[in-house]
Amino acid sequence: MNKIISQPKKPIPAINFAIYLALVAPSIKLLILPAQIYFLSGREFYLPILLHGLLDLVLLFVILYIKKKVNLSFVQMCESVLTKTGTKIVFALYAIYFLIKLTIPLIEQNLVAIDQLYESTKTSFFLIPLFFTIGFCAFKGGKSIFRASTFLSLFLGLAYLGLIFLSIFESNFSEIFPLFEFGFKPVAKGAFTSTLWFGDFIVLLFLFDFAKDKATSQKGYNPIYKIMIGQAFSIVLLLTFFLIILGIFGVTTPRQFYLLTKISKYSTAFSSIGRLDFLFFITVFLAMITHVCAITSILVDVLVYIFNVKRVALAVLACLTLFFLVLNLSPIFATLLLDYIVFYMPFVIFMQYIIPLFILIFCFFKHRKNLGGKLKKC
Amino acid sequence: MLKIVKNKFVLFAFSLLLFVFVANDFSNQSINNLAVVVAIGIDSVDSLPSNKNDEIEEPLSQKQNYFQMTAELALPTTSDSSLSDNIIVTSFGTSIKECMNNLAIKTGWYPKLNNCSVLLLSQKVCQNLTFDVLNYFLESERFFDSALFCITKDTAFNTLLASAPLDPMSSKGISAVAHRKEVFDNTFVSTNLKDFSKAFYEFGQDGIASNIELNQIDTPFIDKALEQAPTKKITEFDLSSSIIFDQEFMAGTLDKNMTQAFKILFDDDFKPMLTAFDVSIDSVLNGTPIDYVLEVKSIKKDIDVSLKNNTPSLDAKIVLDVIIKDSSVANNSLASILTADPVYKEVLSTINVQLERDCDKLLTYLIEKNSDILAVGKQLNAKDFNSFNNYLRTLNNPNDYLKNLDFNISVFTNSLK
Repeated sequence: MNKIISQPKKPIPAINFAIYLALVAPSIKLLILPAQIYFLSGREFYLPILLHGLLDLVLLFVILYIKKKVNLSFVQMCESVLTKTGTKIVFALYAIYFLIKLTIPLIEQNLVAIDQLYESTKTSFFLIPLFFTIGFCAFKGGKSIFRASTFLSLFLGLAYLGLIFLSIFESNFSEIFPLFEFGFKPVAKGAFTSTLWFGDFIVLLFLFDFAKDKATSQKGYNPIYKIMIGQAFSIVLLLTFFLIILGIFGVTTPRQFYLLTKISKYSTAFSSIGRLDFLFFITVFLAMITHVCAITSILVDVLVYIFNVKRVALAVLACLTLFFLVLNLSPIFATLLLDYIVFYMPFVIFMQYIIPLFILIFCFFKHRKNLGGKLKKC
Repeated sequence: MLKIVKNKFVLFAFSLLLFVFVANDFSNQSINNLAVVVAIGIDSVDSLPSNKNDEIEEPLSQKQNYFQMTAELALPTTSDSSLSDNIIVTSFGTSIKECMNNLAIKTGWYPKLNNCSVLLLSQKVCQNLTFDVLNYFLESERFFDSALFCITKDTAFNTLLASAPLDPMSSKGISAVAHRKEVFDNTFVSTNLKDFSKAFYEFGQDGIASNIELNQIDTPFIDKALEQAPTKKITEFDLSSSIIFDQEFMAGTLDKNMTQAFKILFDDDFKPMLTAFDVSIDSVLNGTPIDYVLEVKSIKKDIDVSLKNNTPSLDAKIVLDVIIKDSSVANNSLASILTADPVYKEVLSTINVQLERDCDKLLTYLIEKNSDILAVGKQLNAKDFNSFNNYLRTLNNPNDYLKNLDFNISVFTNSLK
């Protein structure tokens, strides 16, 4: 039996999750995603973000509510509904899902580093220290990552503010008109394709544990609202950035990849100093790596559970080898993964929304009798 | 004991790896070997110069356009002199990429475009090849599209070869003129590449870019060491006119007055200096005509673009608040020194008439050239795209929507104090 999922040694406080959802998780949605959604949805490309944000908010509430009532970790819930064998099958599917969810941000980060941060390097050599960092974080487990993201949050907040401040005055917000020139269909298409970048509640589903949260025992304390406020803040942040992007680039948005590195360069404030906004961008880049670390740690946990590995380091090594193969040895695979995103999106939706809801709701009804009078109180 | 050795080994291995990683130069070059491109100019030439024929093979088809790319380089020097002559390299090719490669073959350096702040196109290129050139720069991740985009009447090669009055580098001179602050009465259009391309890809908006004209002047340059007065050729960059585009091709030239009228209509922060010529006021100097220079303190614009009875119309009401800054004849009364004069009615009406005439001239010219730099089509589409599309269907050619434009521009000038 693994140690990490069912019996976490060090529980992660709710405030760390809230900060993660508010500041770290939005960072990966600001590189290629705006260009991609604009290509599909046109001028209303901020609406898929709003739809996904609201959907995530609702699902987050459902997850936290049921988790609080049932007071079991996700593995225990799965085992009580699907038995142990079923859980292993579902977790094997989750391993594939997390691998896809990790590979696309890694491809984006690889491209942005090659194209924007380095002048003439064409290798992915810089990924080696990155893989060491990711491996170390995944080995240490969830708590270290979320502590790191909380520590990063101050700089991250400043970086977001700086990027917004440098770009908002160059933005022309009349670009949002005309509204719905081509109807609602393109918006739905954009929302469907961008599913993979959303669904950050999945991190909480696996890692957040009410029983282990020390502060829960205090009277009148409810971590649900804290986490919900974090998620709501991320929607506001993303919408701000997307509206600024629309105001600056307008119809040429699909042509602009790595938008975070580009939105601030039209500001005349630093024309004599140079590209100061890269300082802010690199801070956000650190947040992207933190996000990758968080997902990798879950993937390692899942692998440990499936194969009953005694040593976590082996699972970490397996993950990192896989990443390295995906990114370096087969560039065709990376491009295929981005080009044919529509074909595996149903699988992503199935793993991201349907399976968690199915397990949570069944578990809720199964344990309702056991909870008895406890339910009425809450 | 074993644990300590193991831990130390891990630490050592990690620091060794870190050292190996950090010691890599990532194929960076030393700063003394860098050639930083600060400006690029593109010309269109019909045939290659005879001595350049060995660079590229002659294509089979005769009607082939060649590009001449001129790059102005800044070389980091270790010498004490801060001023260095401008270094120009040029190459030829059938496409911009080929020009870049030829430049790399010629100089041994692949051009670094990160610091390129000016992109110059000659008028000949703009007549039929604008986006053949611009596409390369828009696609390139190395070229920042915040660069200034200008068009020259002369060839781009000659423009970059010229040296500006205060700096031997012509690109610095050009950007210094284009980015002048409003206190200097900046009536120039300064477009960056992003705005220009955005206007092209948007429905119903055409581009505008400033037009550089070279004025060569011989000024006596006194060299104290030689105690002679040799003449040094100095070039003035005149950016007061601008080039308008219809779709991607050059449609016409706006002169200085029309450019100023366009800036008043379009630019929000623009506060020009206005000159009222030959105003005769009976109460002052017995009706002698005087020229007045007025400073605009604030502009209120109310521009309404709408579709009335299936014809697009533009109603603009511009209210200017002005004060007298200077006049050709001094008014030496004590009262005028102690208190700021209110501007005479005659001066205000002259300004009104002058500006309305310029705006009318501008709009008539734009309609004639079918160049929608005021974004009338875009605003109509944003307001009500259904009725605008219905209107477009009634036309033979959807791009001619500007032909029926009704415009009504009124200018009111108030005197501040």
